[in-house]
Amino acid sequence: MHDALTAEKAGVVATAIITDRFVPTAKAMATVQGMSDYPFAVIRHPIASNTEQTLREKAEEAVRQCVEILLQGEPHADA
Amino acid sequence: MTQLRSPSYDLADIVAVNDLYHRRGWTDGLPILPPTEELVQACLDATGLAPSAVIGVESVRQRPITAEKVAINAVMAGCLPAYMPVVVAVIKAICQPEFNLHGSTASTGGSAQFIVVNGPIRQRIGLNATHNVLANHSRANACIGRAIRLILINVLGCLPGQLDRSTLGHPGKFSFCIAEDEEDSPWTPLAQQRGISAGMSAVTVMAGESPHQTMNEWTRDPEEIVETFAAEIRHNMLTYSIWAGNYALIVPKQLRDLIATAGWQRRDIQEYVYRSARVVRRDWATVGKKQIVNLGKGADQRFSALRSPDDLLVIAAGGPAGGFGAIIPPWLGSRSQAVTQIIETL
Repeated sequence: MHDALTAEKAGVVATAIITDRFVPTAKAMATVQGMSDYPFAVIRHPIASNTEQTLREKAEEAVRQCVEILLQGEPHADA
Repeated sequence: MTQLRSPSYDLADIVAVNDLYHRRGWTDGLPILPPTEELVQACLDATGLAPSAVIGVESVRQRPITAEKVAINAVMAGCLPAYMPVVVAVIKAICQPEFNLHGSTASTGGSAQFIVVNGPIRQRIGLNATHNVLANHSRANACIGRAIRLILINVLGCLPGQLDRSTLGHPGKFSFCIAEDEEDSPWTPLAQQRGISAGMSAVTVMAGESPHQTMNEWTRDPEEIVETFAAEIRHNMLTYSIWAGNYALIVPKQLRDLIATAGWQRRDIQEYVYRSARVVRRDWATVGKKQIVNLGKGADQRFSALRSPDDLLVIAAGGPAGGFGAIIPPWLGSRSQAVTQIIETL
């Protein structure tokens, strides 16, 4: 999240991919960085122990969400 | 008296104060001492710092840690003003880039800031270096370590489940502060070995996992004594994390005496562990991790616990009787490195 937010602040369109169990932390980091509504892709936890097939399915889901987020316009900084 | 800038609350008594602080998530779960203006000012006075003075900045969250916030949390933790120079030095140490404060406090790995104090301030403030050194006893040990935890919670947002994602954490996250037993040690104090002048007080801080206790009372051979520590490090490399970085060794008096009688210096311990604490990738199969044996550079890939002998922090501490020692593993190899910082006193 920090990398994506840093890129965004530097004018580079970005997003982050988070597993569902890290969503509260991703939101906390976005808030700390002053972009509390920053959108990010969410896939199911975990990653490390997945089969290749499951990992491919999660990657395809992440790509689908990332494309949607990246095309929806600029994120807003907190007032 | 300098004007403090933090909000104040008018509450009936210490019970009401603790109710509020617990409700707001401003504690580690234990009761706190109410940080009244008078107590906070006394802690600030002990440092000579203005309330707005920035002690350090956590670079990822971009949060400055001011003297006022440090003093408030130190009071809450139970610190006496005389402890403040140590608390301030720890904050300076953990805000150095090589400590990687964000990573080591946010990670699922769940490390704590392991603090070793050297120099004359240890005795002035009553820091414990002997019996039960890694646990309860002295107010200074307990409250200095706790102050750091409260600062992380209240200034940097290290709330479990939020920006502290520790899967387990460990008991050292309540407090993890010891002194070195310099008066009863055959070795140069840790801080001096790490470049601090003799007679100066300093802290050395590392992002440490929970201590693993060892025991060997059946030999006088220094190599065998140190090998027991090295074996525990190898075990940690396989069961926890393979990556090289700072490991701490807590060596109690009974073992120090035997090692010193045999003519070994601290450097000999560091060099022995550097040579001995090594594993081969295929060893992972012995601890349930055969799935990753053939990744990386293959089953014969070698790993060392230390990048060099200097990575090993050899610490003289613990009660006078017993062949019990401990290793304290790093959070994630050299992704966080130990930092030694001078303690500035007025």
